[in-house]
Amino acid sequence: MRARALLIAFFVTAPVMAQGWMPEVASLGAQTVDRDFMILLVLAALAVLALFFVVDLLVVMNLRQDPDQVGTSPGGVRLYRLLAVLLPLVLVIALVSMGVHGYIDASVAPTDALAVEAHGGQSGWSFRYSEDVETDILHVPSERPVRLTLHAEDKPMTLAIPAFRLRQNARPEANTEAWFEASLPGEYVLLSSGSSLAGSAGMHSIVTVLPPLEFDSWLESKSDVLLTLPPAEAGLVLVERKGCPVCHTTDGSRLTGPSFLGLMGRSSVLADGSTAVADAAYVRQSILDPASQVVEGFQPVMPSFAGQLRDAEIDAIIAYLTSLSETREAP
Amino acid sequence: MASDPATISWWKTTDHVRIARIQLGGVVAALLLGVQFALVLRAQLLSPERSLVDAGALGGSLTSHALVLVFLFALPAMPLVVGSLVLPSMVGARDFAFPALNRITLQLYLASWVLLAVAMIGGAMDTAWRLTPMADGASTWPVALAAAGLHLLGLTLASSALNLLATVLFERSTHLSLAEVPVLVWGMTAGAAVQLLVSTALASLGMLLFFEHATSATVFGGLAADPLAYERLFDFILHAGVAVVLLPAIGVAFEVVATFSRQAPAGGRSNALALGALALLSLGGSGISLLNDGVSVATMVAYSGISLLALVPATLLLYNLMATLVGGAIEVSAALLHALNLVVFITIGGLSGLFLATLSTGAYLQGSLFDSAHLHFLLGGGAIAGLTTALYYWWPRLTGRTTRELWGRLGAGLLFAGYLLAFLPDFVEGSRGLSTLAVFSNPALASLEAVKALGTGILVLGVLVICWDFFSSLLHESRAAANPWGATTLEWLEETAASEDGSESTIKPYDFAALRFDPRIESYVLVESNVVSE
Repeated sequence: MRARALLIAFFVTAPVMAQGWMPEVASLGAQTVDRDFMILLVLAALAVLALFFVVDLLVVMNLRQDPDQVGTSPGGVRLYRLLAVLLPLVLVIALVSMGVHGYIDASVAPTDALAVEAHGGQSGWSFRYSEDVETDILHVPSERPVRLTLHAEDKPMTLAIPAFRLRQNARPEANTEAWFEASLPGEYVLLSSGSSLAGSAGMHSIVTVLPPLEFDSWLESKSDVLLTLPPAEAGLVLVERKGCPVCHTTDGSRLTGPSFLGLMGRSSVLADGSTAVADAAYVRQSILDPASQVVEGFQPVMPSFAGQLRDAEIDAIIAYLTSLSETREAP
Repeated sequence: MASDPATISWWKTTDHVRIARIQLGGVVAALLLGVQFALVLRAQLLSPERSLVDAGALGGSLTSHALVLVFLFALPAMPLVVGSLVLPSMVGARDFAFPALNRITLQLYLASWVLLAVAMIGGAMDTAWRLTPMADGASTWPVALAAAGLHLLGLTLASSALNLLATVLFERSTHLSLAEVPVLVWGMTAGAAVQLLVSTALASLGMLLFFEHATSATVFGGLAADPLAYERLFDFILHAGVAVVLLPAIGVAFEVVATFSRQAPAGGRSNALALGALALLSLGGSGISLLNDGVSVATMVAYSGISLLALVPATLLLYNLMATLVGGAIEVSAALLHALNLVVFITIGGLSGLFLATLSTGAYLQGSLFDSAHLHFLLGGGAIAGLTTALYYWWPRLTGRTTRELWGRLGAGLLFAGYLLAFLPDFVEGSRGLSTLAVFSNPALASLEAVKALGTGILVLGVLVICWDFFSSLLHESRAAANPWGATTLEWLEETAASEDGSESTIKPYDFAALRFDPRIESYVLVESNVVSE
């Protein structure tokens, strides 16, 4: 009985607690989901409460007085039985239509939505805004619809953003879509779970919602350097993005690879004994197939960047390397 | 047969009660084993940094927990234990229609038990818990063995379904028409019809998965294939499997409530219609799990409607069950309390299904812990409470021993409190977007983890109390009365009728006025006018 009292207390307080039950609301659609959730929660709580009271009442009222006593109203009442069919039928129709409203809104993205591709892999999600802008942390503008196209690399994954009441499965063989409109700038939890539990179980990350103007400038800073910067400066950004400075300095000192300082026009002895002058063709060849011309005294450890850099980007890198040599010769 | 040693005679037995006792042992062993794996999962969630076991062992525990409890415990519990124990005598048959097939059912069940057990000992199956084959998935022999086990379990359920259906249809006493049989027989029949479909799907799934892992054949995994096809087939088995558990369990609840109220179940044949409707709807229930897979809105509306429609027959059954209490002569017994547990678990499980089947909320909650709690209440709660209710009710009939009322009530209370505390918090965590085994920990939810751990402890205690109650009753000398509850269905009346030389019982199910209590033997006996000499 005490357990039952506890449970009743739980169900009475549940609708009150519901505001604390659901996570914070940070998107347009979240309010619809919460409203529907509340309606269902109140219904369910009332139904369970009613069940408990009815059972308690019936048992207490009809306790057996004598072992030979038999029940006095077998069969039940036909009218009530009819109601027990009609009322839930009406409820079913109401719930289907209530759900459809919210679901259609949540399924069909506005045509002007910002398109973002989400790729799920072993190490988590990466988000692609255009061919050149890709991040591991999802950044979105507030008060502007965003359409996510999801794709999983090798096994089904799920992406969930509780504050947006968003949950979508991604699959290897086809793209799926979801959209949302964040309402408040801030940082929110992004949960991801893999169908396979090893490794990818329940990773979590964040989604950053920026005010529209801030988002635009963020995207600009992330977008194509070839369009936004002069070639030499774009080359510098690309060299840093690809991690070249780990092995190549710009001050003349020697690391795993030769320094970039004064590289252009320098003639070097290669590992096979031949001599080569570093011109544009030499640099391009070194980026795409580094093992083919290793300078004597260095190990052939540089990875190829074939397929990772476009021709125009290699041109920008050459322009940057050339600018390094010019600044040295200028004085 | 007399010359056979005891073990051989047990192996060759076709006695349905004997077979059911072994199957009861297998099902209870599966429950205890599955609970062990659940304790590993709970301990992990409680441990600091959640680092008790590594990800592989954790995934393996989840897989084993799910496989053991769904396939070795929940699905076989009703047909293999309750069906085998009481169904033939309930319809006035001496045994199953095919007694030898019943023995084969037992042997297949034991074989699949052994295969799954060896698979679990053989190594952590840290695949997804559905054993979904992946593009890069390596084939491991434990998974191949488990797949073979699932195949044999499919055959187990298929042969048991055939036997149950044939027994009800062809071996029924001539005095009993299909419209007059007890509600449990309707539930068992509707459940067995679904079981036949589920079992064949399970047998095919198990065999294909076995080929995938045991040979180099590519069936579901690999680059050209679709692991989702596998998951959809699995979801079908899981959703329709809920009907395999619940339809007989609802029947058990009706028998117990009718007997302890001493009046016929309200609603009469409308219960048969409702059980049949639930059976049909359960076949389309898995569609709703496609909610986040990019299926068209129109398709999802249809699936939502199919899933939600189950509310109609379910409400009718609940109403009829409650109306059976109205004006009854109620005795609060351990069996009745367990039946009320069953009603509560199914009601909570069913109501949570509304959240998942309504498209707007369902799209957010599918696949989260909310979904998992829904499954635990319907499939887990239905199977556990269904089994304990049935055992408390039929134990005196089957073993001739009485259980202790106090222990039975204590067990019911612990099961009730433990189950709610262990799984209600999952509804809250699921609403927060969490899925099973999420590493993400929210400090605000830490108290919920403690509640879940407390509930799991109480639940385990309850299971142990109940197991001890049944086990210790076998050690007592005192014999139970032939019909202590005053039940009116045929399985209780065999001896009553046989004891009157050359006479036969003429009472119909739920004719409670035809029985009177005899205080000398503490049992209900037929009123003289109902015993006719031939």
